[in-house]
Amino acid sequence: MIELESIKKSYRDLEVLRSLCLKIGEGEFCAIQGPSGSGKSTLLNLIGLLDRPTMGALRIDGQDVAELSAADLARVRNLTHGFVFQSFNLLPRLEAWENVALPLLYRRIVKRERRARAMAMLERVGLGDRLHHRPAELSGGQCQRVAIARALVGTPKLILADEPTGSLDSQTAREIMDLLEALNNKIGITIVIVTHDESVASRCRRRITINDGVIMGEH
Amino acid sequence: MRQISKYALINIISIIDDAAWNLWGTKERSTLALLGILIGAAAVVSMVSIGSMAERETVRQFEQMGINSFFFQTNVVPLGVGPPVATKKIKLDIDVLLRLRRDVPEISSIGGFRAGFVPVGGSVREPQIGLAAITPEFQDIARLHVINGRHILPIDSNNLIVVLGSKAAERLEQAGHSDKVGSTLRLGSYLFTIVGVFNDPPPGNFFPFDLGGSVYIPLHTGDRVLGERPLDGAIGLFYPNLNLSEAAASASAAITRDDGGVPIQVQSARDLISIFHRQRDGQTKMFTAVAAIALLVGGIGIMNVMLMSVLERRREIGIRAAVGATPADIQVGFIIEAGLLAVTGGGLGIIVGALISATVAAHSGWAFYIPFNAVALSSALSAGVGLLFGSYPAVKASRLSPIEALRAD
Repeated sequence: MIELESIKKSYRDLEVLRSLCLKIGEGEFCAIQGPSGSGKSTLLNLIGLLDRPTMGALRIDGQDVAELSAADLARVRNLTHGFVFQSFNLLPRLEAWENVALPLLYRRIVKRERRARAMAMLERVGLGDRLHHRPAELSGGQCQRVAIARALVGTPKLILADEPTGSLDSQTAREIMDLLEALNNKIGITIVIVTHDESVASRCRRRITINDGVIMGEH
Repeated sequence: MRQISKYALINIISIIDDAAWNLWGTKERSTLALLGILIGAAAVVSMVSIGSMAERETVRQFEQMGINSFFFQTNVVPLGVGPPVATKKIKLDIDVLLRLRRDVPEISSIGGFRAGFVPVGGSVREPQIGLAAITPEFQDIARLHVINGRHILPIDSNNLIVVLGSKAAERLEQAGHSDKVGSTLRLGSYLFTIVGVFNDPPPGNFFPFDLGGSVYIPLHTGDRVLGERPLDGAIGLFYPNLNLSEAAASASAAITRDDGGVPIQVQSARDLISIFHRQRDGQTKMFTAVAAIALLVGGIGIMNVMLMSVLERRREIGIRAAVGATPADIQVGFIIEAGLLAVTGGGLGIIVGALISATVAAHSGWAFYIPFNAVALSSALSAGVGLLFGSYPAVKASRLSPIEALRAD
């Protein structure tokens, strides 16, 4: 599903990733761990096609992303990726269902269908009674559920989560992890979580530790 | 193909919907951006509209006077460059009028006048009043109709009768003279009998004297009061639906034929209207240019607001990009926001402009009128300004890298 071959990424003179090789197969439930500044978020951004590597090959489903234009990358993100961020990244002006429906807007889907699919997805993450609330009217856990619903609404193959529980209390964090685990188990979605939280990483079947831009080990 | 266009349509509707909600979310700022365009569009509409209303009003006045009417005066120096040609004055008398009537088939009727002032009441210390000695035809052509008594008839030729203009009647009454039909009035050293009073004359005319403020006597009676001299001018009507400039030219030729070729200018109402049209055209263009500059300034306002908006919404742009918005989607989104601002501002501006010109129309007693081209022009300009000034911020937004945009706060 994801192949990274001698990936380098530098910002100006600072080399963040150094000749990194990694393969993640379909249906994996995978944690990327490491201290802050180790390059784990940069790695996730590259996999998420939000940024391009400075050198090396990155293939998603066998497709070398270096050959894709910015518009092509956006389409790949829209069809195969779902993002969950530490700070939720919901649009504050939009109601919960509108936030969830946002990826479908860029798939040229009519509003009626966008709404129906977003509402169904919110039901699935347990927010069927919060369809018309705005992010400010929701708790942190609820916001993260909305974000997960948004990541799932386009039936992606891959969910990328950057510290998804970082802003949540331990009880809510556990619930969110339960939700992600269930998605992986039931639908077989590939999930990659960047975290420095041991309790989160311990629930992942594969754990990759990176430090100073290189993979230190995995188990 | 149909599928593609259907998707394109869905996309546009969704994006417009999305853009409208984005603008609604920043009402205050959107309103400020609207304001510039609104003022510009209102200026365009009201300028063009007020110009057209003034023009129509003038044309209406000319038309009241009769679109087929023409006028000429003696002592008219022809228009053009060079030293004045006319050294010999044309002797315009009743014979010339008769000859014109006979020789120029385009003319349906013609009347002559001499105008001057006479003291009322016989003493030189008395106030003077405008007096016109006229042929009977003059009355119909100038649209003077009696509201009391009778008008001047051919058989009055040399009689001491007078018909009062409406304002002249009022003035006489205020000065203590009788303005009643049947009573007498001393004009100069002659005692006249008042036989009628005219209605208010139509506004707008060619005459070198005040139609309403004068009193009227038969042409030949005028020889006694004003002294024997040629006519001051003539007014006539061409038959309808003629080429008026040709008719005027043949009338000029007939007048000047026996008088050493001194040209005389025959002006038709339509000539005056077309001169007026040309003047108005120039003015309208100038005003519209000024108003268009106001719109341009409005456009710069939109650009400012959109640039602010792009800067403030970097994170939102990043989120949209992350969930799959292509650079083109982002660009179109912002352009549509700018376009919506411009079109809404333009629409409101047209309404405000219409209100302004309605107010002007009400105050000047003009007929309210908004020409289609005023609305079309300001709509087109507003939309154009929106697109023009919206594209730079939109391109800027679409070039943001998603990761930088997401990191913004």
